[in-house]
Amino acid sequence: MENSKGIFKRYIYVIIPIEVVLGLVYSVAGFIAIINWYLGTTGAGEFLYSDYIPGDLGISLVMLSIGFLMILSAYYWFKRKPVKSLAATTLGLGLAVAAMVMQVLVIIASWLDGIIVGEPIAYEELVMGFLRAEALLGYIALPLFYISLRILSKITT
Amino acid sequence: MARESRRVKIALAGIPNVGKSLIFNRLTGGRAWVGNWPGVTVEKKVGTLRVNGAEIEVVDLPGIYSLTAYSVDELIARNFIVEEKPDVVVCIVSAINLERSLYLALSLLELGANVVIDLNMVDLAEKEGYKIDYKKLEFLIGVPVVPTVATTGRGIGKLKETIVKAIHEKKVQARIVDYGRIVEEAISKIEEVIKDLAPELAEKYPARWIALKLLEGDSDIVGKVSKLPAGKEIIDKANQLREILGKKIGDPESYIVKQKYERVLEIVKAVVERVAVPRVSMTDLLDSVLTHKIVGIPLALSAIYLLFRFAFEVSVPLADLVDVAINSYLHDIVLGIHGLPDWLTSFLADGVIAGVGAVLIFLPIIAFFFLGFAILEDVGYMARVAFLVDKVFHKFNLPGKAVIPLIIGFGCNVPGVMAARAIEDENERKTTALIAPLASCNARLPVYLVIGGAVLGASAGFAVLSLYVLGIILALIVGLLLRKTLFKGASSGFIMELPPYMMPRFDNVAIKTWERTKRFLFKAGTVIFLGTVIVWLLSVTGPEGYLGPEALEDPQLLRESWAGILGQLLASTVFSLMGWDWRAAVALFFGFVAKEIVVSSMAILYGVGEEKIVDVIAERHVFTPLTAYAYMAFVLIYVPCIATLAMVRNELGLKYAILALIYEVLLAYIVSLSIISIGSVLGFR
Amino acid sequence: MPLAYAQEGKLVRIVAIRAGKGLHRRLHELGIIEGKMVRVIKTQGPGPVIIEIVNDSPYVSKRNFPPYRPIATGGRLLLGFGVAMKIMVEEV
Repeated sequence: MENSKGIFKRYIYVIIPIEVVLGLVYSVAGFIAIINWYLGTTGAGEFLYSDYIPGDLGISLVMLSIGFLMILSAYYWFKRKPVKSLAATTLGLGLAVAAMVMQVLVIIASWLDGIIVGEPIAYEELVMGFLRAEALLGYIALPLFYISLRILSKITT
Repeated sequence: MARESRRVKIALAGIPNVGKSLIFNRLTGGRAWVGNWPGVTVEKKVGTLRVNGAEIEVVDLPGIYSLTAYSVDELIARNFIVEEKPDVVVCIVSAINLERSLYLALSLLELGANVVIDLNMVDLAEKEGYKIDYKKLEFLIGVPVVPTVATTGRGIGKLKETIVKAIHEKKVQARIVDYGRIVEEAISKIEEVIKDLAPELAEKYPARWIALKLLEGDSDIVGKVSKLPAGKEIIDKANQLREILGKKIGDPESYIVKQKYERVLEIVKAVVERVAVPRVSMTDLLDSVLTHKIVGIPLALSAIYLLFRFAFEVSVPLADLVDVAINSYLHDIVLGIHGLPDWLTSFLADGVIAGVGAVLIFLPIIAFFFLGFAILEDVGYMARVAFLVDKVFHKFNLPGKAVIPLIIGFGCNVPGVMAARAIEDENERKTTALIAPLASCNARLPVYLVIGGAVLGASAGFAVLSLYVLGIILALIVGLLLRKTLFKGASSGFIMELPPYMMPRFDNVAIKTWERTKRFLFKAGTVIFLGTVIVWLLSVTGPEGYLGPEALEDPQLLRESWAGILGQLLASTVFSLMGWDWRAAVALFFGFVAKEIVVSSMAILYGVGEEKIVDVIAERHVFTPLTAYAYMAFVLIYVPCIATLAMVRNELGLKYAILALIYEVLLAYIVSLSIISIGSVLGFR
Repeated sequence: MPLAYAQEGKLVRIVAIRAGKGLHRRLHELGIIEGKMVRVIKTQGPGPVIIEIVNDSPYVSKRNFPPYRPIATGGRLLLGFGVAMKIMVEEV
């Protein structure tokens, strides 16, 4: 018990700062996605960072939710509720990983689709897909998710 | 030995979320006959347990908490036990939900069933820091208890052995609960009367149980007894005793239930032992975030968004594979067969194969959607979503649970309507089944994409999203109207067991996905297929007789077909205010069969391939943005497909299927017209 | 006070159930009985609640583990807004 508490403490000092920064980045990316979506509907002007952030309301919702969770986590941390804070972090990172996995699945699917339909595959576009915001940030979230899940399962039943 | 030569039969009973279906699969190997219980739309599953060369029939009873006459499921279960007399009733008791599980077990014992207790999920109880002394439990209730872990298969062998043993050694523990001197006296008085006046009744049911039910005032039993010749006398006696009891202990029914629950608590107290200091449970911790007031809803929406991405984007290669295989390969093969008459070639290529294609192209999307949904459901997340939306749904007189048929409806309305079964209250169930078709299913999306893409340009994405939202809003409003008019009455209450979060199990997920997809494939598929063939037939024939397959390629000729004439009629009469092209009107008419057909019949009607339809609609200015949006809204609201109506009829009866048809068409008309009139007032075109 | 208005994390005692016969019995059978205690795990106050039924006397272990909290052998129940309004409780 004491041991797991030790681990818990040590890791939470590492994870909390990273996840707060990550949460802010997710929130900003989410807002940009909304702006891009708006630019898309009005058909006016260029997208912001169009290579990385699509104008998609859905993905902006996901990224903002991740941001929300990170903020919630920080809030719990300051309220001296470290366990709840960890739960929020883990779920936020989990959602981040899920969004990343989905993006990777979609890229694989469009590659397979190219083969099936017999059209030339635009490899450049596929590669850019791996660099989309939710994918990029997801790679960072993956190891953190693993660590926080480990801690969480250690301190709970 | 003069033994009846009937098959040995056992029944599985248990409260919801105890792992009953998993135990059923473990016992029967997963193969089951699935149908309905006679007269009601409650699913019945029957399988076979093979042990030591013997074959035992296993009947899965509905998930129930008790054996009252208040709920259809409970009546089914108790009538089955009384009338079919299964050799053994296996009661699955959850170690992490001991109290409610044992309450059902005691109810089964009182009914005189030969019970074997399967104490499931003992591993989870150990994780929670307590152990259940199953030997002591066995001693206290007097029937065999077998601890199992269904997820890993631990204890299943022992369970099978115990069942076989119990078939030969019947144990009856009808007196398991002592209701106290006052009630017990009353019970034995009624028992005597029953044995004297109606011995045939005492043979069928345990007399003690009948006596209890009469004291409780159970409507079903009172009805049955009063039909007997000596019925009136028995009922009078019971009522007299009820009155006397009422003065001493209050409402007898309430008293009896409480006493039984007290007995349960006594047993629980005796058999549960704490073995470790409890820690925070993972489920509570996750729930503190997942059901959070502020972040809960965006999280749920995010999960559903990712589910949609999974269904629509990840399934693309499979859908295209089906498309290529059917519409190119198979189509070409048929066209390549020489020596067939023209009409037959056209029938096969444009009718049959196009019909099969229309169904199968959607199969991957729907299967992926249900796969993702089944995972969310198996994890335990959907129950939390019901909690999150309950407050809003309550304002519309609907239970939070009604959100699940609506979400399933996003995949395919047919299983969506069927999912309304899970709602206990009859009025709420009917309402939910009737509004589920307003969830915008997968088949409507291509219509939005084609027309929106062609006419609305950059705002197409937003228009599509708004239609999904419109569907849900309309569902809630119609739901409220139905609950205020046809299905009045207070809710019988939305109560749901909240299971702990669990890793999804492959077999559970696979079975659920398959069952729902199968419903689309067979129920929707056959109807859609027939519909496509009818579309073909109406397009190649007209008042002048057979027009030949050229009609499908020549718009002028098509005008002369039944379909063309009908479309012009519709466009010049009911749809004249909408400003839709006659071809669009025909496509709507064909869309009655299924939304899958709308785009393909438009393509036929404009005389182009499906891949060019977007360009044609854009170039020819078929729609203005406003009429396009009204058209999309119409497609969203009016009857999703014949298969959905067939499912409504199946679940609620013909009357309600007709009601659904009428309200949906009317609503679609009203909403479209409002969009056009309000839109033009606001200056949209 | 209706259960729907109870605060999150609070332990409350059920004082009355104002429901029709069928629902009354169903609630009793689920362990929601007048006089019993219930912990409000989650609420959308006022709104639906997630509760855990707590029994008055915690099951004290034979091996002298401190009874930090009674073992909830009842599992979690989700009660819709409508039901939660019909159950009257008082804070303990």
